[in-house]
Amino acid sequence: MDRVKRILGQFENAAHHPGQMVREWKQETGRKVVGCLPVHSSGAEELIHAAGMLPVGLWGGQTTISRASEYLQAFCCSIMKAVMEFSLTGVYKDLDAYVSPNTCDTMRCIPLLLKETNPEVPVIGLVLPDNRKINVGVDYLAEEFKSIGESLSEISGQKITPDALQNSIAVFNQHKGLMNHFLTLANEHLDIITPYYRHMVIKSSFFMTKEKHSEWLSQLIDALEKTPSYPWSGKKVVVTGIMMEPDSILNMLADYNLAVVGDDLAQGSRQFRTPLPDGDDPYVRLAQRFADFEGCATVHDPVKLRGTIIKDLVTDNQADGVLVMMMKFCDPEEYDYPYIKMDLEDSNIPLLHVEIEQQMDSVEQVRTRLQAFAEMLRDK
Amino acid sequence: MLTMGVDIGSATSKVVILKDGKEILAGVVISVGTGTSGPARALQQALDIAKVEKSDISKVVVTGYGRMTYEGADEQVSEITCHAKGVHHLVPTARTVIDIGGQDAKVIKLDEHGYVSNFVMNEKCAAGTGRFLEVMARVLEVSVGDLESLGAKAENVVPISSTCTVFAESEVISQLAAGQKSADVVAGIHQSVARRIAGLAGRVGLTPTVVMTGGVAQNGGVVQALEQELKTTITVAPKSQLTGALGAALIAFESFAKATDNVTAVK
Repeated sequence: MDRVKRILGQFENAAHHPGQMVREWKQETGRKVVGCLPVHSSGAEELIHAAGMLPVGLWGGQTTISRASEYLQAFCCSIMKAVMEFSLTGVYKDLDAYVSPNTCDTMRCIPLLLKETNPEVPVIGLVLPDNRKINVGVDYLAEEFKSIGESLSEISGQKITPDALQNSIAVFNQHKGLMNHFLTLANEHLDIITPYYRHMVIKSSFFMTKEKHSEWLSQLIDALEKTPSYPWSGKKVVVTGIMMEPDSILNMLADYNLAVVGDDLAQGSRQFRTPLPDGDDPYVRLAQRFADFEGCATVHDPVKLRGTIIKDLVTDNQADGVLVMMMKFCDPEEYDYPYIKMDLEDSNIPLLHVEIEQQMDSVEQVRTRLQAFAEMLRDK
Repeated sequence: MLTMGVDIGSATSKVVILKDGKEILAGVVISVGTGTSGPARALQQALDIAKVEKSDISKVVVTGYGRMTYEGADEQVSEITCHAKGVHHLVPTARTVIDIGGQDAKVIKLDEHGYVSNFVMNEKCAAGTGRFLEVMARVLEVSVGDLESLGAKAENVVPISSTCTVFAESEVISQLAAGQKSADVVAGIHQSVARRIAGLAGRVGLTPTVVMTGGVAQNGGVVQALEQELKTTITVAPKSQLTGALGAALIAFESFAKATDNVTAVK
């Protein structure tokens, strides 16, 4: 148990100190760091790795929004406001470049805003295709990744070779496998792997090399496998949405004896639940993963599989309900919600819609909702 | 056996003392809420009315916005569960509860046993709550209690289109400055609250019997506007401000009885 807690402490420290993690890595290696904006920078991250640089996830954070309001309207989400605030106030000063995918309407403007406000830092736009499943969509995205790879090679001064990229894909695939293994194992140790620590393990992966994170994950998995399973007597939930922050909300779940046994979070499992497929052309492998991926509000899905994915998570993990963590003003998520709600209600799966922002000074209304939901599940 | 429910809201403090889970010995509402002397005053008044001492109370459950900081309770339960319990006790046929309090509004779906099967709350915004009505009453230079009678004199409804309380306040001032009658503006305010709540209710669906609780339920103008908006009959809960505290007292009774295994003895 002590070993597990010690390893969890490492993840927690990394998740809480991204700037320190980046600076330490730069000092140790003398290499460059590229900030990757949400949601789907996957593909670019492998290229950054193959170019000998560190991809770092830029998912906002808790801050006071002031200068970002000069550039972003009131109806933009708190994640992008935090990203702009950090960019404008020097928090991202150690970044050597950005990769910015066209995730949503707000994010289509972000590359221009970053260039405008930090002209010395290159911004590489990643234009993901809507028609991602047809051959031409895969071909297009493979070419897009080749172009991005050339830009990244210039920034790093290290050419991306096919072998290097294949090796990076193997590193990332191994990491994805370990993350999924950890989350499966976590459900047998819900007393230790609380919603907060579950999030810490996932979040820390954005701020360090995949090799190092995989090493820590292997240690954690080993320690958990040597720890007796814990018979959880509380209720179990699956969470969906862009992310589940601030930390106070995660701790509230524990207050009300709710364990997270599965997630469909953009910052969580959506990052690693789909492995990169096998193949000879590494660029096609990157593109094909995006075609294979299912169940994200920011990715075109005419079949609307997300409800089914969440239902399967509930069934497979014997969850009692679903928490929909709705990031305020995230219109892609808002558009998905009616379909999710319908699918879950049709299956008699209780769900709670909770509107969140990254910068929440008062979380008492969320507390009331979560407590009432926990009481509802208890009385059911 | 005596149990007590304490409901500390943002605008009011309520206490109910219950005998054997059935008879209300005291029900007190004090018009100040969390962070004030309200909870202590409500508690003392309820004890005085019931002619009992605090030590006579077997279990206390606290609910409401101030539940997390109240130290005099054995257990804290969310106001959603407490309102459901209180309403089911008073109106067993209730399947939908609309509760409009000082700073939040909720629509709660109940199953046939009175348990919560679904609920929605307003987001962090005062629109459609008691605070909204307080702000509007201040602009109109009347007390909140007078809004109902004033609105009843309306000849035309002056629509208030702004959702935000601050903007709605400006809109009301503009309408009054433009010469609109106070009564007509009040009718528009009631309609504005009703429309806001109807939006919430639509998310969980309405199943009769629809029961309204909370301080705003005492304003017949809002109730009537809601009936028109929702196209349904609304039953105002008896002791509408006390349903949360009553529910808390009932939960305290059931919990204590279960713990001491004397449910049968009491029945």
